[in-house]
Amino acid sequence: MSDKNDDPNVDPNVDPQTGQRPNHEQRQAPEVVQLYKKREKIYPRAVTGLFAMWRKIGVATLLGLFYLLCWIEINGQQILLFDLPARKFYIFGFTFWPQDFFYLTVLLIIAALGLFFVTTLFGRVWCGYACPQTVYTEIFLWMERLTEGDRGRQMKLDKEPWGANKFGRKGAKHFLWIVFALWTGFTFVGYFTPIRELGTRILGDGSLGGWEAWWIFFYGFATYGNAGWMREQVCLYMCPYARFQSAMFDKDTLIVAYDEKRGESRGARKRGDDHKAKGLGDCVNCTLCVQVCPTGIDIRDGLQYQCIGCAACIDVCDQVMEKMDYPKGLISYTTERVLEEGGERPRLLRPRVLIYAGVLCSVMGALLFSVASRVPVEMDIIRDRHALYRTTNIGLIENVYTIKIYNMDQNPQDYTLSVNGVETIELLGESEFSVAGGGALTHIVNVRIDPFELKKTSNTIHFLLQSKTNPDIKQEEEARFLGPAPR
Amino acid sequence: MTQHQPTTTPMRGSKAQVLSAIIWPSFIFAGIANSVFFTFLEPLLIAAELGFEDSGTMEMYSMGFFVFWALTLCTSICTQYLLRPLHNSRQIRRGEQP
Repeated sequence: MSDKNDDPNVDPNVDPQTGQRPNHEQRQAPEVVQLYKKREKIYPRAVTGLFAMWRKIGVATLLGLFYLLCWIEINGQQILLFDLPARKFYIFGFTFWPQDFFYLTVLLIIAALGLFFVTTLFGRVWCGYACPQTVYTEIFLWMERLTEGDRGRQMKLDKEPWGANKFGRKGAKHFLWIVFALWTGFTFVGYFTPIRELGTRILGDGSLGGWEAWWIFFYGFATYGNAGWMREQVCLYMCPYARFQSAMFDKDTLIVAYDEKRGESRGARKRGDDHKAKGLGDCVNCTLCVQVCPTGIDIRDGLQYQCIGCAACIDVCDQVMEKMDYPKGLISYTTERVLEEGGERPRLLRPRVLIYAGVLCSVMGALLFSVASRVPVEMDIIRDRHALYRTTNIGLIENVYTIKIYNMDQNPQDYTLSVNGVETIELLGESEFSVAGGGALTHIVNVRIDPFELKKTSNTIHFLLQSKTNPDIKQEEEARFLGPAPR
Repeated sequence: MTQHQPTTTPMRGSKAQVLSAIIWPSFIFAGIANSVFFTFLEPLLIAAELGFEDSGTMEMYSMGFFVFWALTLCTSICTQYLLRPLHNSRQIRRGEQP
């Protein structure tokens, strides 16, 4: 019997039994269409083991660096400070200016290439051990377990009606979260405005700027929201790396994988049973690997984009295997090739790895070279816009320029300014400046040229600024000199 | 009778996904735009130009960031809006396949 609706001549809205169209009431059936997928809360079970220990080391190191570095001073100078009010960036003894933005860009490119390189070799180790989202989620989970207990207790607590116990535990959790988040916000702002002064302003005279307070709360709120509430959704929905990391994978990339050949068919058994005789594989189907997963997936379903490679399932499965007297490594760090073709160690030297390494090394080399050969002086020239030019009483043409000199060296410098490009060109006023280390100076200079030498209305001239003590510190800048139309 | 059944698969990801897709990229690009903008333009000069004499560099950076974020947010919201499925919701409520 064929379905009548397959016939294009039959109106699908006509009921085939009665031959009638549904009336308006029926068509407006109160069927709720779910436009959005509902999120189910994930309660990751606490896990111990080798990889959990590595993650703890990662968390302690990275958070330690973040919370402590801003307090370290050398010669009264915070060693890592992106001083926005002064527009100077102090990075381990170097001073960078907004003009050095280029270096920051290159640094970010290096970071991205480094990530690609590591991903090709080791898969998502960044996600599992070092990403701020993982690191903060780990700390927030720890605080959650401290107040609400582990997975089972948390699930029970959430089902409980609101009472003193639930209120107390949830309240304590949020209190810890908020205090930690606010401290994080304070530390974050401390990298953009000197942290000791910021601390004094908060505790002492209450002269905390509105914007500073705002950023502390904003960053605190972002920490609280992302690590407390959003968690794995950040990885799933917000992280671009999570989406494109598979492009860097090949068959030899390290992944967390379940050995299906060995594990299936899964099933419960007693300790000491001859499971092979029962036709069972090594997987006892305890579902602990699912319970510990921070993104709530079942690794036994194969490689999934949700997997952040944290290896919590490896740790917990190894413990089960140990209890069962089975060999460890039913879930392990391995590669697709090893899983498919057998064999021992993953191949490290592959074209993809070598290409990433090559590009990474050359960009790093270029950056080192350019930092080493950086000339620590910068000059900006702005032509006076109020008048095109001025004719002096003896008939010379004069243009006015505002010159801004930035001394990016730590030491004070004496500079000489000169100008060339057209015959008879002459610089009026002061031509020697001394600028303090890390200082800037603005000066107005007049330049005169005999109109006889001007072949065009707009002429190119060059300003040259050179240090008196070190002639290698110099900068040449081009400028326009305007004059009357040549006769 | 498949054509009479309402669609049950979600039309899009979760609300969190939609909101994240609007807020997060716009935040990142507002930050980038702000850094590039103030690399080439002195915040205090702009403050003077706009008549915010009391504003320091920090305030200008912050305000600049929010102006950029407002712009990039609008862009993201527009994109998200235009990406909505094209069939109208009444059809879905009636249970017709898009």
